Amino acid sequence: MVKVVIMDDSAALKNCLDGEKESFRYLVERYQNQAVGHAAAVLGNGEDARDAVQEAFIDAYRAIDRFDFSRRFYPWFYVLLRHRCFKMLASAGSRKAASLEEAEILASRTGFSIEETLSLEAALLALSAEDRELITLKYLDGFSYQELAELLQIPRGTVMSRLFYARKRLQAKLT
Amino acid sequence: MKLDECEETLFSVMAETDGETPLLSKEQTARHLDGCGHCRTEIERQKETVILLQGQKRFASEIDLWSGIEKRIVDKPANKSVARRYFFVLLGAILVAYKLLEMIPARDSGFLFKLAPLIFIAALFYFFRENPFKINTELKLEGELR
Repeated sequence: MVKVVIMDDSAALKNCLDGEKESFRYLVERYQNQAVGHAAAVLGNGEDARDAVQEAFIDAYRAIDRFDFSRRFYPWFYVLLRHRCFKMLASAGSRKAASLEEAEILASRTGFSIEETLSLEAALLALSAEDRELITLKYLDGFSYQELAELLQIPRGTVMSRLFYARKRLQAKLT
Repeated sequence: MKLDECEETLFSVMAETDGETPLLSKEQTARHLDGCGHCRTEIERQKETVILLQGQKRFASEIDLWSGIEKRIVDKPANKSVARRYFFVLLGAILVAYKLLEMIPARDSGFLFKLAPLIFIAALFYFFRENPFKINTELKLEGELR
C-alpha cells in the first residue's frame, strides 16, 4: 500500500526542527522555481539567481528555529532571498547578463513580438534592482500593495509611491 | 510625506488601476483632472506601461536545487532557541547569586566586585553583537501616506 503523506509548509518546518532533512526538500521543491524568477528580476541574471536562491535556502534552514509559525513561509524566505541578492549586487560578485536571454526575466508570449519583449526586458535591465524587483512583483506576479509591503518590509504608502516612480522611470527607458 | 495635489491624484488613479482602494473620491479626482493637463497625460502614459507589463509573463525555469542544498545542510538545524533559553536561566541564576553575596552584611568584596555587573552587561552586548551606542538610521517616515 502506498503511504500518502499530506504536507504543508508549517508541518514541513516543524519536521525540519525535529531533524527531518527530507521535509526541507518539500519546501525547496515547492518554492525554488518561483524564487529563481524573483531573484533573476533583482539580479538581472539567471545564473546568479540560482546561486542566490541556493544560498538563501541554506540560510533559511539554519534560521528555522527563528521562524514565526504564525507567518507564511514564502514572505519570510523572501526577506532572506532579497538580502542574499542585494548582498551579491553590492559585492560586485554578480555577473552582468551577456545577452538579454541570460537575464531570464521575461518569457516570450503570444500577442507580443520577440522584439517587443526584448526591448521591455532591456528597459527593465536598465532600471535599478529595487525598481525592477517592485515592478516585476507587481505586474508579473500580481501581488497586492499589502502583500508587497509585507515582502519588501516597507509601508503600503511607500509601495504606492515607489511603484509610481518606478513605472515613470521604465517609461523613460522605453522611449 | 506630504503630497501635493498632482501627486495625490496620480497615486490615487494608478492605485485604482492596480485594483487597490484609491486615495481620493471620484469627484475629487475628476475635479483635479479637469484642470490639470499634465496629470491627464501622465496617467495615460502610466496606463500604457501597465498594459504592456500586464501582458508579460515571468521566465519559467525548471531547476532542481535540492541536490546542491542537501550536501550543504547538516542533519538537524541548530536549535538556538533552546540554547538561548538555557543561557537566560544561567544568567538569572548568576545575578541572583550576585545579589545574595552583595546582601551579606559586614562584607566588603572590593571595587572589582562592584564592577562585576557592568562587566557582565558589556559581555552580554558582545554576545548579542549589539552596539548599545548605535543610532538606528534606517528609520524612515518617507512614503507614509495614510
